[in-house]
Amino acid sequence: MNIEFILTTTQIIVLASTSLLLATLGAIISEKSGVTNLSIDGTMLMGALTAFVITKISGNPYLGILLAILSCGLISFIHALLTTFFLSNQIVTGLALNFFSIGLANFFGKNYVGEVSEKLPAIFAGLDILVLIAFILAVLTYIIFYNTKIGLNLLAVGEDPRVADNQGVNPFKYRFWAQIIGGMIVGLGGAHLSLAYTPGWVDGMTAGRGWIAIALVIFSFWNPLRAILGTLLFGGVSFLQFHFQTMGTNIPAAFLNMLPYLITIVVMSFFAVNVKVKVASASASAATAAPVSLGRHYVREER
Amino acid sequence: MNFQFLNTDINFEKRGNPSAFTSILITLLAIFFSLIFAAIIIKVSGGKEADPMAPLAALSAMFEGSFGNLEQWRNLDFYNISEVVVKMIPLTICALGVSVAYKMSFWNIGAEGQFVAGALATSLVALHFDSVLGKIPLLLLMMMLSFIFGAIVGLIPAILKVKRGVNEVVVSLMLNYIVILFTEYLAFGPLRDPRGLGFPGTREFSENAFLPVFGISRVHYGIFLMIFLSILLWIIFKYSKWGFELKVLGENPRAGYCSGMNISKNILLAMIISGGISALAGFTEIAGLSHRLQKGLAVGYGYSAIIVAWISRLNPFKILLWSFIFSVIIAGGDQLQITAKLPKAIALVIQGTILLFVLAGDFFVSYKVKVRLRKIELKS
Repeated sequence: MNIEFILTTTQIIVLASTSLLLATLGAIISEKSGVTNLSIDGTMLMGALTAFVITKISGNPYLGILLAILSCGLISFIHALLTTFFLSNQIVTGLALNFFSIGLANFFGKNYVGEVSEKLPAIFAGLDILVLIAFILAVLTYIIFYNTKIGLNLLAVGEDPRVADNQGVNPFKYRFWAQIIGGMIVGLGGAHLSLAYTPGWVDGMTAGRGWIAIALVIFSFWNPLRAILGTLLFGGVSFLQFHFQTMGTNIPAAFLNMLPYLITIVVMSFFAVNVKVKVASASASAATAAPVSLGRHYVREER
Repeated sequence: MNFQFLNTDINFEKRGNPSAFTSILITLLAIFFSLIFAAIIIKVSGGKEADPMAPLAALSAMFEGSFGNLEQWRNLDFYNISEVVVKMIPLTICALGVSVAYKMSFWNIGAEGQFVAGALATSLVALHFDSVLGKIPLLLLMMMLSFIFGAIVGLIPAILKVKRGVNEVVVSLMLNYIVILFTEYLAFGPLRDPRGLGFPGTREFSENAFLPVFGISRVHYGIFLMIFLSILLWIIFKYSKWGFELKVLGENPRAGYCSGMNISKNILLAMIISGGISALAGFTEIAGLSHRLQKGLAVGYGYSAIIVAWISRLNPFKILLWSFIFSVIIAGGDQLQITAKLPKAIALVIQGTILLFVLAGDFFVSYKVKVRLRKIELKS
C-alpha cells in the first residue's frame, strides 16, 4: 500500500465513475421537471458513437464532444416533444426512444466496430476535461436547483405543474428544456465512454450504464451531490472488477461481469425507503424525495 | 389547451369519441413514415457516391427477404414466409407475457431475461432426461420447469417492489444482464459439450426433446402454444374477474385499493404469469429450433416484445397481428445484412420509429388541432 497505488486507484475509480455521473446528472435534471426519462441508455450510446465517429474523422476530440452534445440534444428533443406536447406515456416513449437510438447507433457504428481513435488528452493528474466538467456540473446543478430562480421554478414544475402554472411559470417550457439540457449532459457521459474510459467503439458499449444511472437517480434521492457519492461507489465496483480480472482469480469472468448489475439491485433494495405499495401515490413519493408529479402529464384544462 | 406562435393560435380540443378509422389511418401512416425514415438513414449511411436508388432497393430487398419473390411463390416455395413465422412465435409469446404485467402498469422489461431463463430450464431438463423419458412427458416437464424459472426471475422485481418499493424497471432490466451472463457461463462452462471440439454450447439433445415441425419447414408446434396463449389471455382479460382487477389496478390503483383489491398479491401473481409466459418462448425456441443451448440465443425478442405489446394496446389478438408485422421487419433486417451488408440494427430502428410515430399519432387521435391566424389590427 504505497502512495502510488492509492493514487492510481483513485484515478481509475474517478475515471470509471465520470460517464455514470454525467448520465445521472442528465437524468436528474430531466426527472426534476417531472418527466421520467428511460431513454438514458440509448442517448448515451448515441453520444458515444457521435463523439467517436467525429473524433475519428476530424482528429479533434473536442469537436467530437461538441457534436455528441448536439446529437443527444436532438434525441432528447423527440422525447421532450412527445411527452410534454403530445402527452404520450412517458415510460413507453422512453423505452421506444431507447430502442430507436440503440438501433441507430449500432447501425451507423457498424463500420467502426473495434477501431480506436484519438484519446481525450489528460489535462490534470491523468484526468481529462470531462472529469472536471462532470464534478463541477454536479455542484453547479445543486446550486442552480436550490439557489436560483430558474432552478426553483424547475423544482416547482416537477412538484406541481398546476400551481407553478398559476404562478406564471410555464410548465411546458421548463419540462421541454429540462429534457433537452439533461439529454445533452447524458451525451457528455457517452462521449467520455468512447473517448476516454474505453476508447473505441463496440456495439452497445454502454452495457446498461444508462440504466445504472437511472438506478443511481433513485439512490441519490434526486440530489446531484449524493449522485457523486453513488457514482463513486460504482466506480469502485468497476475498479474491483478490473482488479480481479488482471490479478487472475478463480472467479469466472461471467460473475465478475455480473457485479455492477447485482450491486445495483442490492443497493436499490437496501437504500429504498420502506414504502409498501398499498397506494402508490403522493405519500410514497414524499418518502423517497421523488418529484411529486413525476410521470404525470400536465394538461391545462384537465384535472 | 392552446399555444400562441407568432400570430397564429394553435388550439387542441379533446375529441369526444376517437374513431376507429382515424386510429387505423394513423397506424398505417406511422408504418409508412418509419419506412421513409429507414430509407433516409440507409441513404445517409451510403455516402455520396452510393446509388441514389439504394434505399428503395434495400427496402424491397427487405420485403423480398420476408415474403420471398414471385419466382419462389410460383414454385410453391414459402421458405421466407415460414422464417417470418419462426420469428413470430417467440416474439408473440414474449409480448403476451409482458402484456399481463403491463395490464396492471407494472413495468416489466425483463422479458429477455425470462426468455433466456426458460431456455436454460428447457436445456437442463433435456440434457438430463432426454434418454430417460418419453417425448410427451419430457416436453411437458420442459414446459413446466421453464415456466417456473421464468416465474422466479419475474418474481424478483415483484417482491422487491412489494416489500421495499424498489423501482421495477431498473431491477427487471438488470436481471436481463445477470440471467444472460449466468446462462452463457453455464453453456460454456459446466454444461459445455465435452465432445464438442470447442463448440461454444451444450450437446444437441436427442430427438425425444424436439418439438415436432411442419413438413420440411422450421415452423414448429410452438405455434399452437402461441395461439392457445393468445386466446387464453384474451378470455382472461375480457371475461375473468382477475383480468378486471388487473385493469382497474393498472388504470387507477387507488380505486382498486378502495374497493378491496389486494395490490401486492396481484403484482406477485401478474409477474409469476408474465415471467412464466415469456419463459415459454424460450422453451419453444430451444425445443423447436436450436435443440441445444448456445451463444446468440438472446437476440432481442424480449425487447421487441415490449414495443409489440404497447403498440397493440395489450390486446392479445392485435399482439398476434403486430408480432407478424414486426417479424417481417426483423426477418427483412436479417436478409438485408446478408444481401446488402447493411447492419440488421436497421430493424430495431424501424421498430422504434413505428412506436414513436404511433405515440405521436395517438395525440391526433384523441385531440383535434385547430390552427387559426390572428388578425393583425392596423392602427390608422
